[in-house]
Amino acid sequence: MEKQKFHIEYPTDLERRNQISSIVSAGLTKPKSFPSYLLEMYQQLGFRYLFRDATEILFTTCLALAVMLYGIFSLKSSIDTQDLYSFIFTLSPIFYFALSSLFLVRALMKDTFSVEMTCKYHVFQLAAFRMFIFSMLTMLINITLIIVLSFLFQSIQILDALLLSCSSLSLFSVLYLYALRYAKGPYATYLMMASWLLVNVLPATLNQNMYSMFLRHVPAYVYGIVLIISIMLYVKTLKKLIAFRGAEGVL
Amino acid sequence: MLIVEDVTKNFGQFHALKNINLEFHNGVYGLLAPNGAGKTTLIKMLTTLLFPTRGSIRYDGEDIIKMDERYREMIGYLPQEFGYYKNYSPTSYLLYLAALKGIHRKTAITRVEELLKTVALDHVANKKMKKFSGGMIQRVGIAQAMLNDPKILILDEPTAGLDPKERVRFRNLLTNLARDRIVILSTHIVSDVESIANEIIMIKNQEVLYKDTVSNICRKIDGLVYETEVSYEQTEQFRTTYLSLSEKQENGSMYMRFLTEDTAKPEWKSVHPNLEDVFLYIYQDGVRSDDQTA
Repeated sequence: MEKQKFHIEYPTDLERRNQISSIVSAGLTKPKSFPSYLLEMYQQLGFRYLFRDATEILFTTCLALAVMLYGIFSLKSSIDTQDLYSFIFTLSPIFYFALSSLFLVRALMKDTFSVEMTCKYHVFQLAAFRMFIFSMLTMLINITLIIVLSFLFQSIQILDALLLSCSSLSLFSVLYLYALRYAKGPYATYLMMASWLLVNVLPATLNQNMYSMFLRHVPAYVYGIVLIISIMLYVKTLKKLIAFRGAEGVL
Repeated sequence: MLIVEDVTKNFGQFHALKNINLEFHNGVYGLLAPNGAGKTTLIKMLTTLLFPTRGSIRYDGEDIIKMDERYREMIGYLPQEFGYYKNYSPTSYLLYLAALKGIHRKTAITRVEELLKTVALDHVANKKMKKFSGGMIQRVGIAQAMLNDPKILILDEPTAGLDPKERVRFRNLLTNLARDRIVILSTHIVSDVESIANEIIMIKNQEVLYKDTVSNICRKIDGLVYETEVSYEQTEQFRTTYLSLSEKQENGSMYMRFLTEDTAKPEWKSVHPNLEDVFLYIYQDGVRSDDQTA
C-alpha cells in the first residue's frame, strides 16, 4: 500500500516573528512611563479626587506665603545679604513638606486607609501624583519669593539664589521619599524635616558667616549637578512609590 | 480560583498563622474563629494589605502580589473597622471610591444609585454620614465593597451593627452574589454563616482546623450533644461536669444543652448538633478562660 503524503505548509520566518511578537505583547504588559501614568491618573480621577482637600491646600499655601512674606519684610533690616543664602537653602523645602505631609500622614492614620489601599489607585499613588504637583508649586512659590527678595536686597545674585533653592528643594524631596519608603511609621517624614532643619541650622548657628560663605562659594555647576541628579532620583523614587506596598504589606 | 498555599505569617517572633492551605471557588466561605485567632490577618493577606512571610496566594495561577492593580481591580473589601469621611454623603463617598477603583464616572453614578437601593440607603443618599447610625455606616461599607462588581468579595465582620432584619437581607444578598463569585466572610457570629456558607473554615492554634460543609463539620460531634432538665441547685455542679452549650430557665428548672462523651443517661435527650455547638466545643479552652477572666 502506498503511503499517503501530507503537504504541510510551514510558516515563513516573517510569519513566525510576527506570531512571536503578538504572543509576547499580549502576554507581557508594557510598563507605563511616569508621565503617561500621571496623565492616566488625572484622566481617571480628575482634579476633584486628586485634590479632595483643595480648600486646605489653598489655605496652607496662602498662610505659608503670608508668613514667609511677613518674615522677609520684618527681618529685612536685620538680615545680612550673606545670610540670605543659608535661609534660602534651609527653608526652600518647608512648603513642600507642609503640603505633602498634611495629606499623607493623615491618610496613613485614617480608618479609610485600608479601603483606599485595596483600590486600583491607592493612597501612595495619589501621594506620588500630589507630591509631583506640590514640588512644582513649591518651586513656583520659591521663585516668586526670590524675586521679591531681589527687590529688597539689591546685592543678591538672583540666579545663584534660584539654583540654591531648586537644589535644596529637589535634594530634600528625594530624602523625604526615601524616609517614606524605608522608615517605619507615619511620623518618619516629620523626623526627616526635623533632621533637615537641624543639619542646616546647627552649622549656621555655630558660624553663620562660614556656613553662608560655604553655600555661596560652592560652584554653580556643583549645584547644577546636585539638581539634575536629585531630579532624576526624585522621579525614579516617585515611580517606585506608585508600586510601593512595603516589604510585608502596608499595614 | 483563589489558592492559599503553605502561607505563614509572622510578626517578629509572633506566629499569627502557620502553613495555611485553602482553595476558594465560587460560593460563600465562612471564616469562623474567635477574636484574635488570625482571621483578620488572613483577610488582610487576601486583600494584599499584608504579605505572607512564607508561601503564596494565587488567583488563576498568578501570584496576587505580582498581579498588583489587576488583582485589586477584581476585589471588593469591607474591613472590620470601616472608615469614612464624616462630611461626605454616601453618594459622594461611593463616587470617590468608584473613581479610585477605576470606574468611569457615568457608570459609577448609575452603579451607586443601584447599590444604595440594594442596601436600603437611597432615602439618605445625599445626607452627610456624620449623622448615620452604626448599621447605616456598615451598609455604606457593604455597598462600597460591591462597587466594582468584584470577582472576590471579602468581608470582615460585615454584620456588626446590623439589626436582625438587615442581617437577613444581607445574607440573601450574599447568597445571590455568590453564584458567580467568591465570597469570603469572616465572623465570630455563627448564625451569620451557618445558613448561607457553602463551606466553613475554622482556624485554631494558627492553623486551619476544618474546611468543610456545615453538615460535615457538625457530624464531628454527632451523638455527643444532649438536652436535659436540671434543678437550679444542680446547675453549678452540672456545668463543671459537662460542657454547657446553652441554658434556658423554664418552669422553675434549667434546660441545659450540653456536650459529653460519657454514656447517655435515660433522662438525657440526644439532639442534632449545630455549628454553634461545634464552635463552642472546639474553642472551649478559649470560652472557659474567657469566663474565668470575666
